[in-house]
Amino acid sequence: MEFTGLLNTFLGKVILSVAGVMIVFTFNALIAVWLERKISGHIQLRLGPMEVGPHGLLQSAADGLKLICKEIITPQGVDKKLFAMAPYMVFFPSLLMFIVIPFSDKLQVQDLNIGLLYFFSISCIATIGIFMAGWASNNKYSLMGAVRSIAQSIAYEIPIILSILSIVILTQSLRLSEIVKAQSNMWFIVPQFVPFIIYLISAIAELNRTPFDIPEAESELVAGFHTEYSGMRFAIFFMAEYTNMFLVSAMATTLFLGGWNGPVLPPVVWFFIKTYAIVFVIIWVRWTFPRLRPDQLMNFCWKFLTPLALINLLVTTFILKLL
Amino acid sequence: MKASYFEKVGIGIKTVIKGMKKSLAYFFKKPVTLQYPHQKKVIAERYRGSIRLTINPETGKHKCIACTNCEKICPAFAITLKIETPEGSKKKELKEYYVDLGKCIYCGLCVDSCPVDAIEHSKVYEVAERSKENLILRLDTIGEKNV
Amino acid sequence: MEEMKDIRQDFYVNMGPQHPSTHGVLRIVLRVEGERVISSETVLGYAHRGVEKMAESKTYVQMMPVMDRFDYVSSMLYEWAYVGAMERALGITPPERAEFIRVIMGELNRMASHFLWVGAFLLDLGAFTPFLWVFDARERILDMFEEVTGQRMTNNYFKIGGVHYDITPEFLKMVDDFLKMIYERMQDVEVLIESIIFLERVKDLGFITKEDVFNYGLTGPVARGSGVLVDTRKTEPYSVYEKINFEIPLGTKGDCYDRYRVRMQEILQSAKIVEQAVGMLPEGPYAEKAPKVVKLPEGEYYFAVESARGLLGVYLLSDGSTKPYRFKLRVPSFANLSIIDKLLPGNKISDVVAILGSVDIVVPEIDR
Repeated sequence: MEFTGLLNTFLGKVILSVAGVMIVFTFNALIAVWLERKISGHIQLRLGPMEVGPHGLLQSAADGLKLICKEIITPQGVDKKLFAMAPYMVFFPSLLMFIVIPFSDKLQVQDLNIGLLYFFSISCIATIGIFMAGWASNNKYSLMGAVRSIAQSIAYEIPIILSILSIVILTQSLRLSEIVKAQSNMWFIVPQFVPFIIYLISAIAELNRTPFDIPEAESELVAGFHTEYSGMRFAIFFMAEYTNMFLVSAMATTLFLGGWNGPVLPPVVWFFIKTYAIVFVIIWVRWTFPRLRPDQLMNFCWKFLTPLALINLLVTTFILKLL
Repeated sequence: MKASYFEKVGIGIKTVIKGMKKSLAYFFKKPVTLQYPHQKKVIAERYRGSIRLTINPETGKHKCIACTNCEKICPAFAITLKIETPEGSKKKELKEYYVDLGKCIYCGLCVDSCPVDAIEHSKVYEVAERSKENLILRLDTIGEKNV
Repeated sequence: MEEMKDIRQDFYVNMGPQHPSTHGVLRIVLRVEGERVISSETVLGYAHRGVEKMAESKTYVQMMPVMDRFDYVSSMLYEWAYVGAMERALGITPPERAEFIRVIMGELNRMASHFLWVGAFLLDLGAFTPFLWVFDARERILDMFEEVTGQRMTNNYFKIGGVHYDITPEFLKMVDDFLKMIYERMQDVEVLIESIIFLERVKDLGFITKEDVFNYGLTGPVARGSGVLVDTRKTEPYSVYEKINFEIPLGTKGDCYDRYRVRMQEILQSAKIVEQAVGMLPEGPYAEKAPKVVKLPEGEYYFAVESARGLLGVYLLSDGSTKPYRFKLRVPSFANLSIIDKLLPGNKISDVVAILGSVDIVVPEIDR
């Protein structure tokens, strides 16, 4: 932090980081939802929200207000403590993941020397929250949806980690600020294009979005793990998904697209431009493809993505050894 | 077995790229939405909206001769006529003409069956009301449904 | 582990009457074990309105708007069947201009129905975008109907002896613009739809053999997807279809993908038919004189047309009065639905939706 005086103390830094994270998180929750609705509208030859605010910019605020005013229904027979805790269990890891992301060369809450490892291990905690939601709902369809979602999440962790390992080999460090600094000449997407694609696909699968959105599918039999939630609790699941989308894109920017490196504009602006470009790609993929069947999903992960990531790792190490 | 695995990979990559290019192309096209209620569609000439009695421009009154053809032919029993025979004349006259827009199916058989063209379609299609009683219109006193 | 074998692993799952994917109020009771379907049972009747009984208390002219409401996505094909039966009874032949107008309207209705089918099929599989692209095309067809008949969906346009109104020059201009854009739009939709994910979901699923087609009485694209040529327009030609040049697309293997391709090709063939019919449209009257009070002579009359789903037949038994004694509708979806109980066992739950979608059914016409 650059500001001198009172803000240079430890307490000042803590308050500033909390405020920064909350601002980014709220800003993203509003903008990402609006972006999704507008982009999906234009892909489908229609306009999207236009009424509330100019070009529908305040639509997300209106939706949030509506969700807050809804009645919180707790069905009979649920496990009350687990049922109430599950949304927060899914949501808090997302807030914790903001700590290591380098928004610019000076804006990073904590530059841990195991930053990369921290990021992906914290993201696995959300899986427990999903299982809690499915189990506590006392509904056989929610449980089936939760079980499928967990299987999907755990399976797709492997290609993510394998594709990122090649970046770690290139930079010899897990510290995120060093990874960004190592890309000041050439972004890592150029030598590591295949891991970028693998990472993107696995990230979309981790987010439970189409084409991997069997757990949330409305037109299939199983309604998903968040059926029994209404009002604010549903809003928390929803926000967790969009925050995760931002975080995954931020990590892709940091690892493959050069982080905050860029010529003219301030680094923070470059970071956000690149992150929202990846968000655009994720939204674009959602509205183009139908969804995969669960067994095809698992097939795709184990029989295609994992071998590809392993082969890429092998090739990277060979080439590095030869050079 | 091996050949079909790589074939699938090839088809997969090709079709995914083609599909995504196509949806991006449509992202840049002009949307076709009409923002109702700020912009409304142009209605065709022959559109069958809710019905009304034609006003004769010379006399300023309706042309109905109370033959009850429309009442008899309506498949949904939406039209009700109240007829009286005034003192001193043999011809029947129309006293009240009701149409229940909740039952009307906008088929136009009543308009076709009228021998004197006393009934016609207007272009009104926004006929929603908050209670069923408001849907029963009396047509011989008002020209068309007041929106 | 003797006790483990006695525990039943299967349970009943109800794809209930209210469901986003059953295209109407249809109930399918599935017995599943894990992810696989063991048996299925279809329960009908949730949309029964007693229309065939209602027809016995309405005159022939009053029944015409009700015929529209069997299948509101392609309503004029149903009117055609009804009007054809009555014209056979009265011995009236419509003039040639009316026949060509009927062919144009019928083929536009077929295209509208197939558009809706493509959108709904992909929507069930999870792709939201093709639905809106084809609905844009369907909107233009509905605008054309509004121009000529006065209503967008339930038109009430055909009458005994011809059609109610003549077509306008504005309509011909709209048809021209529509035909110019439809080929490109269908190509775009195909490129978007046929990704590897769709092909994996839909290929080699739900095989219908040629013997099944004859045993179950299947007609329409469901039968043509298996390679059997059953199309009323070619096998028992009616109206002016013999003068028009068109092909019937046939499938080879009989899986869901073949049925999808047959319907996509049928859209293009219908566009060709409309183009030819507009070119061959003769001048002349658009309706014959028909009696004001319609009384069919005693006897039974039948007329069949090719609707978007298969063979549609109207049977009228008349006792000489103004109301029919018995009115029966032979609907293609009822026979096509009977193949479901054979196709579903052995597949996974996610495939149920794909198979049901590919056998295009409309529940109001099944339940009447």
